[in-house]
Amino acid sequence: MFITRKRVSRRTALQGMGATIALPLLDAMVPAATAWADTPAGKTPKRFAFVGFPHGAIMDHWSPKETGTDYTMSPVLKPLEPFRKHLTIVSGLRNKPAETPEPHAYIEQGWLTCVKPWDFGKAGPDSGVSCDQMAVRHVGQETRLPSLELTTSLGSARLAWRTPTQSLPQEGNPRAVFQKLFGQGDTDQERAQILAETGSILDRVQGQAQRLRASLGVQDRRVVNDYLDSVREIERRVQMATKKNDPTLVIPDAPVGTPNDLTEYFKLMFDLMALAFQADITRVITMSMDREASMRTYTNLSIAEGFHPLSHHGNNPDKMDKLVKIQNYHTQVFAGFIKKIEAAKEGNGTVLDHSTILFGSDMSNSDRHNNDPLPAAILGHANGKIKGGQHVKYPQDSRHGDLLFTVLQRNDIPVKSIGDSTEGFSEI
Amino acid sequence: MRMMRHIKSSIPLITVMGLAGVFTAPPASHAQDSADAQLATVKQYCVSCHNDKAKIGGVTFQGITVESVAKDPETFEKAVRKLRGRVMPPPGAKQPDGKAVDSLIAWLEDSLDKLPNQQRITDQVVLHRVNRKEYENAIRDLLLVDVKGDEVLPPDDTAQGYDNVASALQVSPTFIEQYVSAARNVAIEALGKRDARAQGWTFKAAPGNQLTHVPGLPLGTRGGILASVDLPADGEYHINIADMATHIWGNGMEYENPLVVTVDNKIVYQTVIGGEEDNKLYDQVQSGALDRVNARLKNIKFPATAGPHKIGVTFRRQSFAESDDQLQMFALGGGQDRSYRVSSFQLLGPFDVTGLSSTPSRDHILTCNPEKDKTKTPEACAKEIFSALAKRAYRRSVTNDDMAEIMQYYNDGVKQGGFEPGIREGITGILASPFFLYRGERIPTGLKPGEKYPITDLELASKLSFFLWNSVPDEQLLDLASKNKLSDRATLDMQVRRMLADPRSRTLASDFVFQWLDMKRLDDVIPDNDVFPYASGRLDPRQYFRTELTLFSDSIFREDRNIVDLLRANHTYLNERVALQYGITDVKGDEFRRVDLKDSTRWGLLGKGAILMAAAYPNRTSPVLRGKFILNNLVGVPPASPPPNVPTLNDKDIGTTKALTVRELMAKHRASPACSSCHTVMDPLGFALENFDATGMWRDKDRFAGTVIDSAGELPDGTKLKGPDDLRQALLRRPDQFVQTFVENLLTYAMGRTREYYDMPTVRKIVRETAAKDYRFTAIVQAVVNTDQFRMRRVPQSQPVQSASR
Repeated sequence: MFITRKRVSRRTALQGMGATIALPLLDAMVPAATAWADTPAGKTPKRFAFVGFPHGAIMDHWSPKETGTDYTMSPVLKPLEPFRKHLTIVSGLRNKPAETPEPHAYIEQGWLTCVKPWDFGKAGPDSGVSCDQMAVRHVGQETRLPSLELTTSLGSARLAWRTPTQSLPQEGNPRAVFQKLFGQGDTDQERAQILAETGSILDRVQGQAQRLRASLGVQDRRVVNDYLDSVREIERRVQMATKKNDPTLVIPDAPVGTPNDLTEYFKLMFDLMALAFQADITRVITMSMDREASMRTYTNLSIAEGFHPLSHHGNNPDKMDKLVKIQNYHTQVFAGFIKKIEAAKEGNGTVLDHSTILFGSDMSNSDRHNNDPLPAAILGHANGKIKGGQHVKYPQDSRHGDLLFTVLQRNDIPVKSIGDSTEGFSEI
Repeated sequence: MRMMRHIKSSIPLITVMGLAGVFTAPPASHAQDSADAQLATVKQYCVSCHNDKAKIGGVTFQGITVESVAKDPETFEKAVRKLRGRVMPPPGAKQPDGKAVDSLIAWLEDSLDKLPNQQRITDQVVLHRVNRKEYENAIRDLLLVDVKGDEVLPPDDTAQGYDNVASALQVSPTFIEQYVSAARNVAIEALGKRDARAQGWTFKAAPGNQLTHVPGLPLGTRGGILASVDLPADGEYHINIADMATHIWGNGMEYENPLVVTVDNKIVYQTVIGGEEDNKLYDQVQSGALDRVNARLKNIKFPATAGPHKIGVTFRRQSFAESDDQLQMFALGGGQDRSYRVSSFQLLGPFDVTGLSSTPSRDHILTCNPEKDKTKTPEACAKEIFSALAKRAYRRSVTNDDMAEIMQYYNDGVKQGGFEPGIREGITGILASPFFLYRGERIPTGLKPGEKYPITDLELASKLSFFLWNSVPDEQLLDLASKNKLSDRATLDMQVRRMLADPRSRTLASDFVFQWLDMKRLDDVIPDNDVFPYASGRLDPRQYFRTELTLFSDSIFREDRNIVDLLRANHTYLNERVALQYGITDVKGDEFRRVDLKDSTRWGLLGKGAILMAAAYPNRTSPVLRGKFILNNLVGVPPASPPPNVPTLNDKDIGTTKALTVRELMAKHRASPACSSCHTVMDPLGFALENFDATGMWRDKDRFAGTVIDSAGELPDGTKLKGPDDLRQALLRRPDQFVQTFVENLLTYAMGRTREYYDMPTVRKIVRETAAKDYRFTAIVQAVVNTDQFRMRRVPQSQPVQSASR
């Protein structure tokens, strides 16, 4: 009985705090205990990732010329060639309800909500809730972190909306992400030591609390009992954490900070995403590879212009060429993530098999800030419910929301509507 | 000079105050009026609404007799409050004359004060958990370590606006986790770590002007970041500054921008961004040029010792304009985007740890070092260190059981790496202990249920220090308490004086005053850039307003002035930013200094930016919020909550596109009968402050409606007001009402429990008694400390038999 009560209160507490408070060690050790292997037999995990890049794409370099299964891979998506059978390219979609003349600062807020930011909450309590958070309502309680919001830009974009008024801040510092995932302690050895220390602290404070209680009045004893209940709950988690039930998973040492080299930075963040899935610490991740109006320069690609000024290409072939290079590079670092989770075995399949990953942008033609047609691709198979290996092209003005709807629906997440969408696609 | 000049102007004020005092006849003088006359007043003016049938507000006075007060003191306390605020009978209803109201108040209060049934004031206060701020202060006092409570601990709940109310301070597993992990981190920070691994800290530029000097950085620099960091060990540290070369056409590239990195104000690195060479590079090498320029901002290496350091990254100021752009911008500091700026930097380290130098924390904690003092064994040294620390952390003498537990931690640490890890573990144990995290009051054995007893001297020491310092007691208090001398009235009064004189009592201004005046709201009022370009974004004055309010309140407390001076004092503390907001142009620089105010509209709390802003919206003033603030926080008569489903004012409801003044908007509002009963009281008070815009700046005109501001207001009793001076004078005419509100709040903060109707006789007693002492702050604090609420408890009625310690 007690455990149930505490679980509820902890959950409430966590929700109340949002993601602003770095979670300490003990909590971090639970995933080992609640790993997928422990969940009811036959129930495979459902994982979601929404990986977005800003400033859209040069569409004729994003979309393959042919549709169906036998298409030639486009220049931008070339790095995903090895994962072709897991890839579904979806063309022709428009995010009409979120279209706004207000560029950049607002457009990202519509990507996963299909609502203009100033209309959030107007059409009902779920209007403005992003689809990742709709998934969290159903799978978020099964893991320690209901969801993880990441970025590789300096600022924080607002992709994930828990409610029409609460967006979840993104973390861009790999060290902070690591500590969120695995707690304090930079090495396996340090973490083990901290765990042992914590065990003895909890033992001893219980003894002290008993002594404290003995001299107190009834009301105060209740406070101490609450305290003791909480201590025992943490103790239980520590005990479970010390039983490592996935010995194959190697957790690397904690990163020191944000690497100076961009490619290294991307790789580190995507590696952490892969680890979060593998260790089953969370099942829902949103990731902004950069923010709208970013001034990042891709000097590693010998491009000297800032990303945002470049994105207003004015149909200048040289600028468009450079944008294709950047977009291809984004796909390349993203493909590193797919490679990792494809290699990660889990049950009868791989982590990728159990995942549904949207890779795309909130924008189409960055020169005009429009949402039509959006670059979008799905990776993974939603536990066999998405076949993959094809390029599907829908007629103009088909709804982007229907794709988000499909992602949830194929994972058995009950959903009534996302923006203007009330149904999914059957072709995917 | 400044002070001399303005002394004259304050003299007439004091005279006016004196007169006002004479005119305010104490209500007690009417007490001889017969009870029948009072009952007749109630029947004549109250029962038409508050009768058995209508029962408005759930209250009836039908059939009131002399005995009614004793039967339902809670209702009558409410009634007194409404009468004192002159909000009942409501405006528009038939009103008794002022004398009759005073007389009724006096009779009711007298009856309430005489009620015998006041034992509840000594009820047990539930066990108290340290809150974030107390934790922060306690760690600073115990270990000289600065922690940010809001980063290491979950937020605390509040009750009646206070975050130190014991019953609201719950505990959940999350708290335990965070207290344990905070204990570990604090211990590492206090002692440093010989085997520290490299880690990274990221520092971002504060919102603010990057073209002017950042306080704390060397003079002659512009912009940049000054970061405080506590380094874990001696060794090499690296700095990576965020890229500055990000476009090929690099604005400002034609000028040399000399950049310096300082550690504790000494330059450890300098380089130049821009200038002729870089310009050539940009022209000729293009993308490679960016990397070459940015490379100068990376891997900046320098040695540093363990402990607190200040690290600065900034530009040397040029003798010419940094950028032409700002000439074209309206806002102060505009155009900065085009000149080079330090947006963030990352500090990494330590690499190649060379040792652990002495730091303030280490010197403070390691009072005994077995390596230096060979006459002592490490174990003896450890005991010496722990007994001093644990005594203050547990706020009592350390028992053998306590020491045995701490030494278990010590031994764990010794196994890991010797003496210092042992001390570190011991500190972790002390900080994770419920004896540190909780403070409670023990029930002595051998007393009957319901029997009253004083709390122990040690409990009193804790209560005092958490009240006055928001932290653990010091040695002197604990020593007096352990000799049972603290409860002696003269000693106690002297200790209160000593504690108030100590800098730690600043928390009364920064913590108590902020909670009393609901300054939390200021965090949410983010000024709207479209409406207030001169007071938003990098010109947002809120952080400086907070400093002003803290310094101003602290000066009234520290100088032991009449606390009514909070409403009328003609001095404040300003820096350039706040001064500009107040229209004062001869205060320069970022440092705050005491200034005497010529402009009487700025006197006292009602002229302070923090108050004016916290009771406004981000884009406009709110006479409602300001009126409510005055009633609730200064007069102590909280208006009723609005009925459910009240729409906010928006264009649709107003039905016109013409810009309306706030007064016109409010008139629409008060036209609704559901709103009018409270708003006719609140709004006219707020209107008197309409000359202050939502950012606290004076205005004569409404910029959007184009009309002259009308600051005509009205007191609940019908007195007409015009402008802030009138409003202040009106409040000052009844100083006891303000003092009562102050005392109520201070008592709540001191007790650490919610205040109840049965506390009111005590509050009134303090107000009466301190009137003879000119309502001096120390007298009020001493009176609060000597209440039964603070010092006495009674055994609960249902106290079970004491069980032996398990």
